[in-house]
Amino acid sequence: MNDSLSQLPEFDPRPDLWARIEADLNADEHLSRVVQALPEFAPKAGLWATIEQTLPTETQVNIRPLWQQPQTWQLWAGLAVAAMLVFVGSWLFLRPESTEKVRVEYAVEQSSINQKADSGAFSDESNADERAEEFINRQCAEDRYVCQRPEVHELRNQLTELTEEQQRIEEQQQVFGDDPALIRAQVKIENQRAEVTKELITLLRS
Amino acid sequence: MFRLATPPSISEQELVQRCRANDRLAQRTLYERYSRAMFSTAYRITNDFDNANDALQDAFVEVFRSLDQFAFRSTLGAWIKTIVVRQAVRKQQLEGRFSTLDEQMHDQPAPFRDTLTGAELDAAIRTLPDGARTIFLLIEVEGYAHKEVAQMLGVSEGTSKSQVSYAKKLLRQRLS
Repeated sequence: MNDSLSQLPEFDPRPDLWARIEADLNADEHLSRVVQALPEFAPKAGLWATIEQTLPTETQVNIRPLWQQPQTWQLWAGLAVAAMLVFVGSWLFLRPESTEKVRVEYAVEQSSINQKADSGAFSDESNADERAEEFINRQCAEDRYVCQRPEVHELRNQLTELTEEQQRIEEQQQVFGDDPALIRAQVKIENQRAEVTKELITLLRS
Repeated sequence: MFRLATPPSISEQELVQRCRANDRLAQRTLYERYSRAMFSTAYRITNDFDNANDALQDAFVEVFRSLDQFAFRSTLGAWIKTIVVRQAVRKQQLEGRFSTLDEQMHDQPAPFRDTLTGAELDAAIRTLPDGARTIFLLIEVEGYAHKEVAQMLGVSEGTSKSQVSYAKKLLRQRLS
């Protein structure tokens, strides 16, 4: 039996087998390289808000005033007296002889912008925004496949984030008024919104 | 596009401790730090934007609820990814959805195009059958071992290996 086993015949593999193995190895290497370049996607913009609703409220920490803790009030009393003495001493020796007179001036700038024309322009803009939003929603309702495309998601997310940012700026304007920095930020956001909307509509029409 | 004004240098350990105390800002920072990478994983596995968002939501809720169990034996990202993958796979309901190898697949497919890009590969991965796509992603993209994938999906290691091989051949056929 042992002799027969050693005399079993040998067979050759198909001649192109090494080429096939090499092709598989090359394909694996190539695949590993391209996998590193796979695109990243963002979740929908409001997802954090949904997650936040399900989370427990922040842990309440019970803080016990230090002066109520045993054997510490004497220490705090001592520290307070020492701090008071240092403060009064410093003030007496280092007090500057100030002769400076402080004068406060203020001015109120009157806006010369035609309020009527302005409100008309904003109304036109908001109508255009609404029309664009209606168009996008209608397209997505009619053709779900188009709106499943990653690039459409990305742009819709950007649009939602820009809208939220715009609302934040408007809220800040109600508090701080027409601050130049806020107006600049608003103009920038509106421009970005317009660009993203245009890109999105072009994509949906293509 | 807009990121929170939280210190980017905050260490993973400190972030975890603050999240465990339900510090909402820390929890949001953790979400912002990992959501894109994790969503990409979930999106590829489920192949559906809404399902991927659901999976990510469930995963992050689970992350915050079970953060006490995270013992720093792996990186935080790897731990979160395991949860995201499980949630995405659960959404897939893969039972019995592993394609059998096509007889014609014994033919040697041509090599990949030299100019192949990540976006093209991503598009081709989306066309794979659900089971093969999921296992291919877990092994080749996420770096899990066949044994881990087999446990995760309740299949044999042999099935895991054959599905990856099947997926690779299909990809080579479609991207050559």
